[in-house]
Amino acid sequence: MRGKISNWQLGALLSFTVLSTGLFLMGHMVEKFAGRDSWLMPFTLFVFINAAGLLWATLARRFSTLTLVQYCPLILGKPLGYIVNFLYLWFFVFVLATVTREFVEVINLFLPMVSPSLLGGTMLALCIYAAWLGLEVIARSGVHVIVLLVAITLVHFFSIIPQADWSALQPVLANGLSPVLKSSWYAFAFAGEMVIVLMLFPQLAGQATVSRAFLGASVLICILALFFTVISTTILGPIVARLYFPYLMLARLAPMRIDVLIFISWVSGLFIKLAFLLYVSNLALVQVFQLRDANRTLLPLAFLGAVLSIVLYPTGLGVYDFVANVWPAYGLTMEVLLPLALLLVAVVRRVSRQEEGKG
Amino acid sequence: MAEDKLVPKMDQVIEECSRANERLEAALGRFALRFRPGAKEEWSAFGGGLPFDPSTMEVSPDMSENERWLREAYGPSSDLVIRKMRLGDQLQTQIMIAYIDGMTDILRLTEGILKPITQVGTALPGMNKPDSIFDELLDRFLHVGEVQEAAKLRDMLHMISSGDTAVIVAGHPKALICGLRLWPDRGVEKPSTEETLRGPQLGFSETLRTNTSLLRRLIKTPGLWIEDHTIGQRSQTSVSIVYLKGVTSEELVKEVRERLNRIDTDQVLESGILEEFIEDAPWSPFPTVLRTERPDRVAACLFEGRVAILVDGTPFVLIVPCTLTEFLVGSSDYYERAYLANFLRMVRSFAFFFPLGISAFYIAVTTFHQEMVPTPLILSIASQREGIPFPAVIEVLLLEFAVEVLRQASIHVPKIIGPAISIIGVLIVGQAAVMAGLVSNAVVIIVAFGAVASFATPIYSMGIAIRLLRLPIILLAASLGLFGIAMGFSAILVHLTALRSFGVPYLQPLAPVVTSDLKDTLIRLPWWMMRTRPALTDVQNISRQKPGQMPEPPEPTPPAAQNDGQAQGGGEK
Repeated sequence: MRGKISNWQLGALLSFTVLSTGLFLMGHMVEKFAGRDSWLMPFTLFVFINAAGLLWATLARRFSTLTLVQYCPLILGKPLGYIVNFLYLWFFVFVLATVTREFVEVINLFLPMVSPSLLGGTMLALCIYAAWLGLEVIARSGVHVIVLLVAITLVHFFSIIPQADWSALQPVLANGLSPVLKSSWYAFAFAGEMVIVLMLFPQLAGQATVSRAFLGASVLICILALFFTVISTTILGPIVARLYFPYLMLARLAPMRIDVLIFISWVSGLFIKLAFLLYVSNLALVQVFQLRDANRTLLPLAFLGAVLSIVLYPTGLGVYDFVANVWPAYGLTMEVLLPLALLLVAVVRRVSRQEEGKG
Repeated sequence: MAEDKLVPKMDQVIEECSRANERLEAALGRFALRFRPGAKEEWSAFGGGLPFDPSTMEVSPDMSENERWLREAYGPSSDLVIRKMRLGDQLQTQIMIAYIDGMTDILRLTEGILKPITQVGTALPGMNKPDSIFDELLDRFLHVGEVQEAAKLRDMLHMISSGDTAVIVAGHPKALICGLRLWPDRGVEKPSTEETLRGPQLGFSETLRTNTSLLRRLIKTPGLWIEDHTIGQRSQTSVSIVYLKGVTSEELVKEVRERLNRIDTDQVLESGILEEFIEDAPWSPFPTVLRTERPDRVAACLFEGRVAILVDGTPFVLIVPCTLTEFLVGSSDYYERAYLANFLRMVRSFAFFFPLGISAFYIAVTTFHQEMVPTPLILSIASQREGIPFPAVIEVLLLEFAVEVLRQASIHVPKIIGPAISIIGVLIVGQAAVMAGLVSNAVVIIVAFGAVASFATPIYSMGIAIRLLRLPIILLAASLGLFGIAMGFSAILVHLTALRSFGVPYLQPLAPVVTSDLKDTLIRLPWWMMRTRPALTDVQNISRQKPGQMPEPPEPTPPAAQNDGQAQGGGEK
């Protein structure tokens, strides 16, 4: 079991990938599209996530000992495969930079006197340490933090439920189903960040049952999203569409002084996500360029992520603008369309590589 | 076919990818810190420094040569006693007896060696060949329990230095080594660092044989195996590995043996020195080897499949492998009933983590996040801080420093004025500092409580780790507030998750969740539920007891069976 992670740990990591930034950022756009009916979004999201999980699992199982950047050239042939490899490499680095920036924006609300680059830099330094230690360490720490996070979030939600005004949820589906589908499609672009599982498939212990990890992760994500949307609609009402961070407002409304714990658990969750992303980006970088030593590229890559997070988004609002307008298209292309195309080509050309006794 | 043309090339490419993947996994997936196999330098015997090198020399048949070598090796040391006697019916065979005065049982030497030797001549008339005299001594005349033969000079010198007595017959190329060790010893006293309310009150002493006998008295199976090693070129310290055959995994014992064998140094005078040579993470503040003074604790750990390392000359025994939960547990946890034990364990776990963050939390909240504190409390804190010239960080650091200095002073102060120093330190200095307006009351309370809580950890080395880590977390809190504390805790969590002790993850059973081991981590289930041993690396015989051990009253007999003609009064209870 050296270096392999179990399905539970994978599920925890995938949940973090989505929840850490999703719950903060999704709220705004989801409410904008679906408004009152945003609480129906998690149900469709559940379906989308599991469908995508099946797609990724099918593609990855055809190459059970190889990662995405290793089998792209096999499927598409050398020149086109390398191009797609570079696209994915850039995608991972870009997501790393974007998530760093999102994270800095959120923390800056709590600590306005600290410069954003210091926040990003300290966090990335910690992530370098975690990524250097390896995936198993990140996964195990993730399991710890997710227990903490789920407990605190549930306590938080249940403590502010008494303030809810349930009539705000009616009328249901006043504008039809299409706004719900639109918002869940949008949320799915966030959830699709789970595509990084394609890079990790060789390191999974339960490759045959990986859909269970997706099921668990999607259940957790959708339950928390359900709570969040219901509560923000019933408590905060229509102003949610105008708030950038409805979640923070909810944190402030907690009757007991648990916003400290909420803060700590969310920072830890973001740390796990960033460490995970850094590890995967590093893995992609090392495999695309076929380097020997994976540890030497961690520091430069983290630097690159930190610098890009400032350069790509000169203003804080740039992140929201990007996330609202550009991310759904870009994200879904890389996360769903490209893997689907890869799978189709692999099936048509009958390319696969499986070791006996594995998978 | 097009497919055939495709497949061979594809296979090649796939092979390369898999190989690259394996290389990558080797680079990224390394986990346990492995030791680099090093070549041990060849030292001359006893680390050199002797006038001659006894490594290749043998005991000489020539008596005067042996005596010369002994005198040269020990130099002017007056405690080497060499006694020459003659025996045989014509008194023509010479015998030399060499021992170190102060380490030998003189009475038994007289009774067991000197007296019988004088009778060899009368008992065996006509025997004057050195070889036969040697055999007769070995077989009949040396009234000593433990007798060995030594042919090499190095071994003989080693045994003499350890307190044995050498008997050399002139003309025979071997020496007889008799075990007559006796030296002043503290005896078996109460353990100085780990006293408990309940349970045996014996602690180890400084003699290896006493310690092994204490263990044997607790575990009377022959399966308690003791392996001896000698470590330290000049100190020649005896080190024993103790384990339960059939319970401990062979891999673990092999690893311990290998790590001990690669130690190549001058002296290993204390188990702490040995610990630093064999531990997994030399740079981590957290200890990965457990140290204890209690035989019952060692015995309990042996039953869990761990290995104990006993070092001659120190009462502290090392136990490997050990996980974080071992450090939160005191022996009395296992002897009290489950409710009390669990309550104490939870208090101790809380007190373990509490001092790590409390001062930092105060700093973070008063400097950055004042809105998180309820208004009456923040007003009270603000009024206390009125007129204090320092920011909260400096106050806390000043007081922490003062507490550490006081702690060191109280260790070294003579016992007579010890209590006076602590009262002076705590009450007067603290109170005076508050009244002088240097620090505020709240900070004194927080720092003092944190200092006291850090003593709740039973094992000293773990308490030190927490105290050391407080400082970076305080600095992080002062610069980045609550976010800094969260980061610090995350860093500690990641570090603990990655730490291993002889292959066992440090946070097991919390980190790789082993559900069967959760019965003895944060809480301890009653003994009749402890059916399996902790899952360390490959423990054999994992089942400790059969199920169904919970004590219950017997079933009441049905009424028909009672009318048996026997007068039974009352029910069976």
